[in-house]
Amino acid sequence: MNLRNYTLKIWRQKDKFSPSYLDTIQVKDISPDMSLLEMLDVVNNHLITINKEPIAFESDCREGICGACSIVINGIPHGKERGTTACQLHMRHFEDGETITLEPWRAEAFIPIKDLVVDRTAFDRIQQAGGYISVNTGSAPDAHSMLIHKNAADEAFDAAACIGCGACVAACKNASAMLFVGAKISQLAHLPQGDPERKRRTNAMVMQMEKEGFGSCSNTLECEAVCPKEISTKVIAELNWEFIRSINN
Amino acid sequence: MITLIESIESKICTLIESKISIVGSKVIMALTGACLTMFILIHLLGNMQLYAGRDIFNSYPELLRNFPISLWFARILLIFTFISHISMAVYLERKNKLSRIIQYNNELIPIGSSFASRTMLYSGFVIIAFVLFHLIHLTWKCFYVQNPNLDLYSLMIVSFRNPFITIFYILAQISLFLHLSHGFSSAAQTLSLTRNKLAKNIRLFGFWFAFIVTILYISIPVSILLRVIHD
Amino acid sequence: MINPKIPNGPIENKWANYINNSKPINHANRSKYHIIIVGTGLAGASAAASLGELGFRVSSFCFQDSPRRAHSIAAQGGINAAKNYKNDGDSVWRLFYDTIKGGDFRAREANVYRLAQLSVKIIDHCVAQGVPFAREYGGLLDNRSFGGSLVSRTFYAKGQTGQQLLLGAYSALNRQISAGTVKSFPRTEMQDLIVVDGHAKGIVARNLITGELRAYTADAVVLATGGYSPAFYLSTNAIGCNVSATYRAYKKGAFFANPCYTQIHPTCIPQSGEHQSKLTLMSESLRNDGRVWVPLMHNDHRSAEQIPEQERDYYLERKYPSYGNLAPRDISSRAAKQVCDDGRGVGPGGKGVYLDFSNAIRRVGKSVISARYGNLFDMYIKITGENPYDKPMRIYPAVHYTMGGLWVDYDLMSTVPGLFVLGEANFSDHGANRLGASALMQGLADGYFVLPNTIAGYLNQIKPGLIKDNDLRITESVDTSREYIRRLMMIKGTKSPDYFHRELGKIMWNDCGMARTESSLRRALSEIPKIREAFWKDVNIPGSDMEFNQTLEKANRVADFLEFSELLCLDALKRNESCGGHFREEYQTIDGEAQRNDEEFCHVAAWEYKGLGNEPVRHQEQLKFENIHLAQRSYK
Repeated sequence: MNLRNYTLKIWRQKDKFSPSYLDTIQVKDISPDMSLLEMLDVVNNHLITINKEPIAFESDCREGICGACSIVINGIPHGKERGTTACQLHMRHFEDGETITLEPWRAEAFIPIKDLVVDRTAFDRIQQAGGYISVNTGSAPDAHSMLIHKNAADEAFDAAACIGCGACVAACKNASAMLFVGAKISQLAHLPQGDPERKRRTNAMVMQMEKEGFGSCSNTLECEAVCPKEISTKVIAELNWEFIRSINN
Repeated sequence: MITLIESIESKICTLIESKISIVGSKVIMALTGACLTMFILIHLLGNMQLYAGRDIFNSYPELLRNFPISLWFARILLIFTFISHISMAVYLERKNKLSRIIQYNNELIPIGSSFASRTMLYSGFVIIAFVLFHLIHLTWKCFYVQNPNLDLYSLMIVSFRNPFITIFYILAQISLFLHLSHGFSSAAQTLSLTRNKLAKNIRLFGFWFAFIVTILYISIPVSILLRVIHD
Repeated sequence: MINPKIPNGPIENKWANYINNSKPINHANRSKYHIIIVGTGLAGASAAASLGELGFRVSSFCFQDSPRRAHSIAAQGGINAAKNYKNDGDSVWRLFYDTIKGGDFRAREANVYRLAQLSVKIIDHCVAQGVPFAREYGGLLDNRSFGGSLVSRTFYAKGQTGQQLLLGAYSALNRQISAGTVKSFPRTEMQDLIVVDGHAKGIVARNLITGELRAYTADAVVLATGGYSPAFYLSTNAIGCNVSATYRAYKKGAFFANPCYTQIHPTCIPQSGEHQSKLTLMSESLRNDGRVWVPLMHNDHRSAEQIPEQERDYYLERKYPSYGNLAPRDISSRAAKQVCDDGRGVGPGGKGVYLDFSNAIRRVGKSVISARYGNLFDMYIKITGENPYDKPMRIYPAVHYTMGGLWVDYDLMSTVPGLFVLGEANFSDHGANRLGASALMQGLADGYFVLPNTIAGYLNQIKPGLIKDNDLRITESVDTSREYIRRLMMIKGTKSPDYFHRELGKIMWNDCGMARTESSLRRALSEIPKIREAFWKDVNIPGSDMEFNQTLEKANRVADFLEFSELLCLDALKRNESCGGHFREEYQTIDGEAQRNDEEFCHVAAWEYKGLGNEPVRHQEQLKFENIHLAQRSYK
């Protein structure tokens, strides 16, 4: 096996009150079959054995679906491979000897916690503002009582594939969350179940998004390019449409 | 005085935030942008008459002056949309700057956005500068106060025989191209015309639309400089 | 003998009778009851939302940064429901029967029947929530078939069904958070269960950002904290999945049932090296169109396309003609292990079998296959760098799900009054082996429909708000947890928690994995305490406990795995039979199938903690099969 060496430049920050700095770490003997996070595991295990603070980074499912991992890799959220989360990015995509810069998501709405970990509860609060259909448990009619056009169901699914990782915000020059918010709004707008609440929902979510301090959308399409689930900016157009419709609410 | 302005400003900002939000602000940008694009098209039609010769071209401003009320109405509307477009841009830009105060150590590497889309603010500034110059130059004719009887056709010929003015105009038109090429599809996206499969086509159309408009605009000073159009 | 409190009457009417005889809490009084729910997966989020809707005061805890990240999100294949939309003879009874049989007759009939009944309502509710299930052109819901079943009853949303269902439950939870009935505590990890006068009265939890430890008191505690697969280190579970909540409840008196029932999933991507941190599952639905095979010859190093048809062994189709590639998980996993042990495995280290789509692609076309499994294929390409459209996938079994869990009665209450356990964290519905697409069904049934109807039975017996935060017994619990963490921090050894976890995993996989023997289990039982001892001497946790400290989080969890694994092995050792996911080599039929011993082991083993170093006490709950005849499981 051809093992590889890398130079890591990593954003370190003890907590939100502390200043940040770029730490340089040399790593050796990395297998190309490792994922980037497994490479960081190797680094961390070594740091622990020499009693140094390991690099804090977030991950959970490590199969690209939970949305926990959140690293800007060489200036691109989740790295340069399209449709891939950082946990699914393997070291075979990096040249031997390469310098790899790792930074956290940066946005005022995402407060630093430690090193590469940031607080993304702003996303939860946007969802809490209206990202749901109001139906109490047990009150639903039979699932087949409502026919839904296959295309509508498919489009709703495409939007619902969002994993809430925040790469769209990290990549946007305005730190805008329009792709994230648009994904939820689009999902529910395509389905007849979502119709009664569409105006209230759009208004509430947009207002919360603004309150959290996310920027506006300049339609640069950068978010769509870094989205690990390749969610289309069509959902932003749909969000705009729903917003325009909700104005006379 | 300053505090008064500041308090009015903050009141307006709160109003915008609570009523129209950043999404609504973008809708205003898109609508005013669309109006300004219409103006650019009408203006272009006027300019194109230069190719039809001195008389026809000179009769165009005369024609406009025959309808003073409509003319002033259009002018005020134009100034209003222009200022709204700019103020919204400034408002949003300031908000957007606040949404990421601490920047990345390594600059973000763009993989999905066009150069035009990332430089809208700068191309916008160049356009503002150009509009001011253009007004001074051809509307108020400030450089030509010595010979007030010069007709518009001759004025054009005289101006664009000057390579510096021509180059400045060309550069400004390139900025207009950048601004329009992104602005067109961006406005379409904001006004949610891209919800269907046409999204890619609209983007393409926006690019070619901006390209053709720009080429036609540039063709005038270039034709004069190269003496395709002569006195 | 412990009493599961199963209602009387014929099985079809038990649940209805139960509800008819129950006494709901007066609507005006509900907000007086505070209920803590730990975990925000399908079971936890749906329970929190439903209890919130009823008007209870709910606090919802998760260690992740958002409730939406719970590991239910990674479930791929689908969710079963006895809707019989396909007119292929499905019914509540058939789902019930399949689940009991799939679980190798080690599940409780009454619970499983209730699950099958409720499955129907789950789909209705999820559709109403806006879960975008796959649909047919007529606008109706689509179904597919899944392992261990002859009918098509699985509802799905591409290969992301778990994600869509969890986001549905998360949205219901968000609605309640917004309404103020549920308070959410993300990044807050349960450290201990607070038991006062024998009743569960709250938890001690650590704020993972600030390190602050504090007690949260309540009138009932609900654990929906998932399974313990990472006891094997490598599994398809998330990095954060852990046994700590259930294990610490076990130490506080809740019985742990059937810990040896672990499920090995047949279709995972094989391990590529020592560095591997987790294994990735490829949905079992792949077996609908993929054919499993290995070369007939031993040590055949030719690439797949060079091996002609007649030199391939489609061993599942050969051994189980009627179910073929859709044989249940435990059977397919073991079959894969057998051919690999036989020296016919493929890929690095011979630890893999082929899952071949070339037939299906020829039959229905690449575009149909891509529509069905596109995202799974993409995932495979990303991880391995190989393209399954051109050459067969390589798969190998991996630990995936744990059927064992805290013992619960029909009400889902554990042996500690006031402590309820839902979803994978309890033991009740899957017996010794879980069928595909049943975990989502169970988690949601427990959370949406069972607990909201059963919790009142307990709450009616107690007075709300009896215990105050400043109660001496509460502050003592916090001090105990603080002391425990201080002990961990003070070790200051030389090795990372991962090191010990990996060592534990090797023992567990080798000695207590797909096939177990008495001697391997005894070996494991003598090795595990050594690792545990080494851990408490030599683990190192840099930094402080009063900050965001992921090493501490990890060490805290590994410490529990190091104790719990012993219980798992002990249970496996004492269950002298093979059933479902528990395969003891000493107990097999002539053709290598699991040989149950219904005479002696037709019971649930529920373990009672007796202090570290003392052997726990093994209690039994006799399983009565009044509706289904006990039979040798056959998928031939």
